[in-house]
Amino acid sequence: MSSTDATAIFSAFKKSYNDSTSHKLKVCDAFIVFFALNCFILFLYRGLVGSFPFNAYLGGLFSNMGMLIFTVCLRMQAAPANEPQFQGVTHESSFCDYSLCAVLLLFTSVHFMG
Amino acid sequence: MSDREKLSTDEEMEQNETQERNETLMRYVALGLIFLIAFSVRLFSVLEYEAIIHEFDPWFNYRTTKKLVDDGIYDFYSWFDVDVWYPLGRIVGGTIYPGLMVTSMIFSKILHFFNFPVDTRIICVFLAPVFSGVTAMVAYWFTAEIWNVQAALLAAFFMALVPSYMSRSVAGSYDNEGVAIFALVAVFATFVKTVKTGSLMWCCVCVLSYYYMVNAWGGYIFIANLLPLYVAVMLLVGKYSLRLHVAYSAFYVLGTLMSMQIHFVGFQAVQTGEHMAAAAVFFFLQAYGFVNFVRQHLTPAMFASIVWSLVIGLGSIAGLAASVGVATGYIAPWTGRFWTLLDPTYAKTNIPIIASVSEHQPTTWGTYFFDLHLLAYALPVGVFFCMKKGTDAAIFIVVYGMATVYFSGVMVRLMLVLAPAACILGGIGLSEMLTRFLEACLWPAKTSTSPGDRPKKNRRSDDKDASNEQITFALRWTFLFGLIWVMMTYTMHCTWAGAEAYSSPSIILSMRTHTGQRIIYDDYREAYQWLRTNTARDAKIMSWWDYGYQITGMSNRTVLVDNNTWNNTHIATVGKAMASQEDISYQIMKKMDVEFALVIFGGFAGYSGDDINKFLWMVRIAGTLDSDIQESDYMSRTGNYVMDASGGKAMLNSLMYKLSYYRFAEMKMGENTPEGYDRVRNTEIGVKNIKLEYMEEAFTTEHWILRIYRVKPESNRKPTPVPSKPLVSSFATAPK
Repeated sequence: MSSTDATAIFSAFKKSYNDSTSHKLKVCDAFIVFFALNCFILFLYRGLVGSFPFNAYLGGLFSNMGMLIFTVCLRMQAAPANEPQFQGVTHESSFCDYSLCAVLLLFTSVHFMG
Repeated sequence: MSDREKLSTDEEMEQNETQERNETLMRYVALGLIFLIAFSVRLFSVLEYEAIIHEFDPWFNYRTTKKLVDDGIYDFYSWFDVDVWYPLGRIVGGTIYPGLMVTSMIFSKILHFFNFPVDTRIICVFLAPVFSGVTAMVAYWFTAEIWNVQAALLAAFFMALVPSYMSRSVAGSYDNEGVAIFALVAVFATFVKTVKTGSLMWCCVCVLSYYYMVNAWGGYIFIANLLPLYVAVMLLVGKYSLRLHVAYSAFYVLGTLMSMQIHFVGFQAVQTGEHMAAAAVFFFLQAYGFVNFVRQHLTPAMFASIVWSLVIGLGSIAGLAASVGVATGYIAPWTGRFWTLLDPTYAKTNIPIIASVSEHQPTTWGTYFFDLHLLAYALPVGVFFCMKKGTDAAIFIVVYGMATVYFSGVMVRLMLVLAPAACILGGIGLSEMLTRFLEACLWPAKTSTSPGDRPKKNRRSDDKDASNEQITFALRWTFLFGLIWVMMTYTMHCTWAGAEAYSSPSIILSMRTHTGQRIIYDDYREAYQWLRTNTARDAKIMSWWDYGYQITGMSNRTVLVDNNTWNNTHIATVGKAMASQEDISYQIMKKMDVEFALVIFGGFAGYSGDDINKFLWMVRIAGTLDSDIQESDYMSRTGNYVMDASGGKAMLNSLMYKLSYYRFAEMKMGENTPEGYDRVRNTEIGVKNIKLEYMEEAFTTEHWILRIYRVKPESNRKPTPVPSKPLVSSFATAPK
């Protein structure tokens, strides 16, 4: 409601986040923010300059969005709190699947960009 | 434990192991037999006639496959076909779903690599039966994921035989659905596996199956909308889980990107209304996940205070984006094909071409039983058991089943999409029933006793218990035998339906005389062969669009319109030519450089699928081009569509009438029938001495089914009138 409430909430969030997430997960989160920023920059560019080679724009956008989603998924699978939901998925196999998805995504994006 | 006891437990373990191994062996033998059944039951037309491509659309697929196999993939993808839609042509590379042709090409290359010189035609004819066997195997795996192995075996068995799938995958029916249903079941099976395990590897397999599906069939849009519907249902019933989030988000991003790789789809995946549901659910899911993430790090009080501002903030961004997209027209609205799914009467009033296709008519109740038989009854039983169990996979199959039951009621051709759901749900339902009744019959002591059976130590109740016991015994065994008998009749019905109803090649007709002898009407091939050998290579043939693919495939000649029906105006022009008087038609035909006109006439052979029966659709479609052509002009004064003397004036003067009945009055069927008796309309024809001024008869097949007419070139000019006095030649007064 008031600005102090918002700042209080934000600082509580930051404190809880810093305490509960391990270093590995913070690296994942930084990666996620990087991809989101890329998406935003691409969107801004399209608004300012136009989308002429539309397939190139979509290729760039989808590759960033895709890597963002995959990193989110990897983070979900790696967080220790989520162990019971991902039976049968070890940390090694989840990273391996992540790389496989990334390869497929980037190969398709490059093909799409033409 | 003494040694003897230890030995017996070891023996027990060994016995259990051998029992398990025997069960597995029996299961795989059963699966192998199911594959064989699926393949064999589709071969009736090959045995009855020959290995020929059936119907209409498969001829186009066959022609493109031959082009791909003979000329290579670059020529195929950049092919501009000048033999069709004269004078417009067709960009084939960008307007087809190439999955089917590429699959056949791969099979052809593999077989040729191992030095089996199998002709393309044989591969095309037998591709669908092979894929139907593989679909049964995938259905087995899918049902095993949802339920258990027993239900899976039943589902695979049903899938191998179900008539609605058989109708589109008999040997010779070389159409997209033959491979697309395999891809559809594979996508759903791998998606459910992804939701169950939460592993991105299964998501990759799902996306690759989805890519194959988009390559194969335009019906991929069904998957693209069903999966978001499933996610929405799961969110609504409160079963959001991180595995679901992983599965759908990864699938959406990779799947949409890969679906845009196909030329025909292109940017539609992000620009048309039909794909927007998937995007909307995707963004909603991300927002939901983000809100959950924020909630993890805040106390409930703090979270409650900001949750509404978060929701409203995210919601308004989404609403703004959506409204901007729709208002500027950037997001294309739904096309007519999809409006008919929601409003079945839409096509009849607005787009006659879509309404005229027989596959797009609403389904009758009889069709449900004919196409699904036992499964039409077993499907609700399966839904009941799945909803009772309520796992993620069970909810998926219920959503899939209910959605397809709705859509199959709108259009007959969507019965095909219902078939896998019906098989799986029917398999689950029947398997549960069979398990319960088998247990009750074979091991009655193990089944739980109802309170009424409690030993009461009362002679009267003992007698009652004994008689109850006898009744339940009889009931149990009756039900068990009933279930088994119904499954046997399912087999008999499916085999019969496959043999009698769905194996007709449409290009070879056969009828039985009153003495039981079979007559083969091979008129179609006769006429197409005549065209192929007696006309110039660049001759243009005008016929109704149904026969376009067959003419280009078999006669290798140019046509004006074909089954692709992408240009309604061109089809309406042909319709106008058929429906107008001969001189107007002649102008149109000259403008289109038409050299031959082809009509189908069934009046002599009693073949009811001829052009006169389709003629009203030609009139309706022509009416969209030229408002002077009114359907009522072609009906008699009493409003009937008849061909006798009381028929509409426009009908009796139309080109179609003349071309169909030209010289038909010379035929006399029997002693008591008049001359020119149309055996399909069951009337004597109205106009008997038909004269053609601008056309001449080129060829009529043996049973008069196909009639080909040549368009005569313009006649010589009429001579100028001779003057009364001879002209004075200028030479007579030449200067000396």
